[in-house]
Amino acid sequence: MLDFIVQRLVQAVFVMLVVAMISFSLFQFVGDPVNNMLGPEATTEQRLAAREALGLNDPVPVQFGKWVGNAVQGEFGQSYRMGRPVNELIASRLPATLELVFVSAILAVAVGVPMGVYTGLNRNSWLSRVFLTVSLVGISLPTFLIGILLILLFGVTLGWLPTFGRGGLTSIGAWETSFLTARGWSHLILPAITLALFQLTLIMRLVRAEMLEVLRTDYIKFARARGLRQRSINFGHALKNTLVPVITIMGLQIGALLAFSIITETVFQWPGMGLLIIQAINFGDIPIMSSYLVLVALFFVIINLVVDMLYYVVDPRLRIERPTSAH
Amino acid sequence: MQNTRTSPEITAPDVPASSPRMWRRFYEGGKRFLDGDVFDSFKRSPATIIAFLVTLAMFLAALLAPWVAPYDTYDLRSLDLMNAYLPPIWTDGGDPRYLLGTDDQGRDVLSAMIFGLRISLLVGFSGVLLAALIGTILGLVSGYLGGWVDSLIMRIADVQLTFPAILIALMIDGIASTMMSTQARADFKIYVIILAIAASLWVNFARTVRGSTLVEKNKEYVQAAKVIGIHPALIMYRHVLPNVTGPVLVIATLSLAVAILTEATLSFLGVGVPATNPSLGTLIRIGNNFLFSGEWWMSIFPGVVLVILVLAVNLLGDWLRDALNPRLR
Amino acid sequence: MNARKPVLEVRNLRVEFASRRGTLVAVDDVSFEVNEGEVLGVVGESGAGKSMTGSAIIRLLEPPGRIAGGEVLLDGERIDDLSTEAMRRVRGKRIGMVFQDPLTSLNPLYTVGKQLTETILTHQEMTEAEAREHAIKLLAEVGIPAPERRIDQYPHQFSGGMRQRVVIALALCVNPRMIIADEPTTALDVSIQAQIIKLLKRLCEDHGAAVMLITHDMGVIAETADRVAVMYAGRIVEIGPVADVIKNAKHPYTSGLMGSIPVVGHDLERLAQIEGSMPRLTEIPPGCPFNPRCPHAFDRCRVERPDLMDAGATRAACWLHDTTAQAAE
Repeated sequence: MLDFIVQRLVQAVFVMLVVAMISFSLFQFVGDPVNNMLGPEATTEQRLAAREALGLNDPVPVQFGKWVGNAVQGEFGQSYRMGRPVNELIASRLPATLELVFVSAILAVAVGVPMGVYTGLNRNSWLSRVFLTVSLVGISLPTFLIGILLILLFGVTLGWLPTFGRGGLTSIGAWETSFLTARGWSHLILPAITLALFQLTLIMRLVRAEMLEVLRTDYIKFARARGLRQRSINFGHALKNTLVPVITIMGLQIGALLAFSIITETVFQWPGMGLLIIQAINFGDIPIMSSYLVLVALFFVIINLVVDMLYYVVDPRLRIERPTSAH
Repeated sequence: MQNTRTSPEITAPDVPASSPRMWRRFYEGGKRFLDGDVFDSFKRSPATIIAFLVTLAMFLAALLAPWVAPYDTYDLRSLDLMNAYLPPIWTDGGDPRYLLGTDDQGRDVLSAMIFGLRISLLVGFSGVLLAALIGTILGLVSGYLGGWVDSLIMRIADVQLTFPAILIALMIDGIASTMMSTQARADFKIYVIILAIAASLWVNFARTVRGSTLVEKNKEYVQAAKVIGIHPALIMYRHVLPNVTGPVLVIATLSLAVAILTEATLSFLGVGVPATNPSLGTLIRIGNNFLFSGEWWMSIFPGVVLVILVLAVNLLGDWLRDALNPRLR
Repeated sequence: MNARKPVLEVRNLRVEFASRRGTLVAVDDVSFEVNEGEVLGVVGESGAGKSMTGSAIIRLLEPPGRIAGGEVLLDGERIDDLSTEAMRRVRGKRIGMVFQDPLTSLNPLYTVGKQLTETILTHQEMTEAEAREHAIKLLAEVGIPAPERRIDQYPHQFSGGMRQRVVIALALCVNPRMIIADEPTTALDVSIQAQIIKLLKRLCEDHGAAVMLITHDMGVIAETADRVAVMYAGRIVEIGPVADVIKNAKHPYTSGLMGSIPVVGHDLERLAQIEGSMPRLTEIPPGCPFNPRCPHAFDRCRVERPDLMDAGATRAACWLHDTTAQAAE
């Protein structure tokens, strides 16, 4: 048990270090940080002073060490473009993205998994066919197009819902949330659906495939031969066995939501991290890019850890060693 | 019999091109295909036939764009701002010269779409081809060598899988933006996108090929070939590759759909192919600016074409997967 | 022996598969019975329809396979026309099943105890604690050491032979009248096969269950079965007491099969082998399905299909034993 967790943690730290290295190289070697901070008019003395102040004259490993030290404390320097500390910028944008991703993830999983299970169990029902057809359209529609269509329909034609930015925010400390007012939700609902739809159809199709795979196994056939009730076969034996691959899928898809939130935020002008990074990329704002990279990697690593832990809970083959004497 | 001759079954060189044997092989292969289960399941699925025809039509249109498109949208002289913002011909104010209307520059939307399709398919195909190449090679190496090489490659694949193509492309583009002039960046972009797409898609190929390699590796004929002293690379080429053609083809088809979507998404975000060489995604982005002022045709038509193309490719991929794996039906 | 009551009667069973090449008949007009306390061996090459017959009896045919005709009676009562729910209650409770591969027959995510108790509780009114006690007793009975401890372990913690013991315990846990064992030892190590077969036979005697033992291994049949049915291309070609079938086979196919068993001490130079191979279901010849491979085939065999007829101590589907025809001559 402890072995497993330690091993996963070591792996996570390793991944983070690699990402940190990439991020650091971005920050330090791409473009000229001094130039970027001082502008082209600075004098040579100013430049040298700035180099010294930034620690650019230190050996690279020392610089890296310092950089990691700062990063751990959430210190990523100043945005070139906005002249504000990166951590402040990110802190102000993070809640918007996290709330959006959170709602979309719940939506995608809560709708996608049952639909996948249903279509897996009832392969030939008409509802399954409808779900499958819809899902095929779903994975063929790019997220941005879904967003545009939803805006056109609910925003422009029907005028029911706002299509731009956040609204109705309530502050809880530094965290501004959309969850506490109806207006907040009305702003959230279209972006969340847009973001969830593609993942939802993907999750549904993958869960269905897994379900079909499990239903073909010998132990399901044997469970039938033992006369177990259909319900307990489907929802006990089959569903539990699809859980392992489904957890992997969901882990990956929630990670993907973060990436796709960039698109959704662009379409809906949702003031989150995605919008921040798109602007940073267009302006070559390296500190924001490198900190975003670290943050995203952290997010993925945490999701992966959670997924591994869940595996561990679900699958006894990981939890319990097989006997050494077994042939 | 001379001693220098080795067993012809194992070391015989590939059939030389244009030999009668090769043609017979082609003929027999073709005949087997037409009589086989795969073609039969194709004939029985109207949706697949339609998807195939749609895909084929789009490929041909893209390939023959300069001859098919009514106007050459790259020819700036053909543009006239007087013709800008014209709606499709069946609506009020439509111009009979422009079937699907014109954009803000006076470009024929239909022609722009056909040329856009060309770019979208070019990027998609190149990305998938590159991914298949990288993935197959890494999968073979990983499965055949095993050990730390295998662990390393598979670990990279795991990490890779969690990073979506969009993020990779955005990061590469972000770096490029600080290091290159605007012009160089624009020229370079299409390669960035192809690379980013390949970087995100190779994992599926690698895993499949690796799995199949592991299975084949321990079979007796491979071991026997090894004992005779045939180079491992040749063994893999002869014995493993033919076994993975099916799965690789399925993955490639489904990946093509993903690649086209990724390209469109990146172009929509403005980090994709530049506006001088618009793809379908670029056209949608440009058109999106005019969506709310009522000029819907600029973005909706490219959007519809994009969705139909991806839908058709997905249908083909789904069908191919089921046809090659009859258990699933 | 014939005075005993039949537990299972199969009458003119026919199993069909709808395929794109038309309807395939996997089991054709098969009739037999299994008497109380008896072990009926069903033997044949793979694809002969043995397993299909077993699956059809407990109505677990994989689609598109379906029962197209015939009757199945358990204790004199038809079960082939029961409702799905009524049939479910027959399975496990009155007919137990043992499958080929113990490694895949058990659900990896549930403990052995959980799988036993859930089966017991599905079919019998009992408390959880009683069921558990019963399960421990069963595990002890099938020869699993330290059952109180092993009951809470997962299948992957058992070896192959031990797992097959668990599977047998599962099949017997509510004292069914009938056990259908489909290749119960094929997937096991040779050293354990005999143990498992003996265990199965002894337990079935103890629990008063009749056995239908499906296998391709004549050795297993010779050791275990009371009577044997030989299947070929979906039909029973010979059925009779095991000693007679082995020593004095009446159907040329059975004789051929017996010729292929190595006999210790016999001074045959090499094992006899039947020329050719069993036809695929799509290519079953008219007349007797064995006629193209039969050394004794004559004109009638190529035209008219023989039914089972008395041939000494056994019954064989072969025109060589048609006494009426000989009398007429």
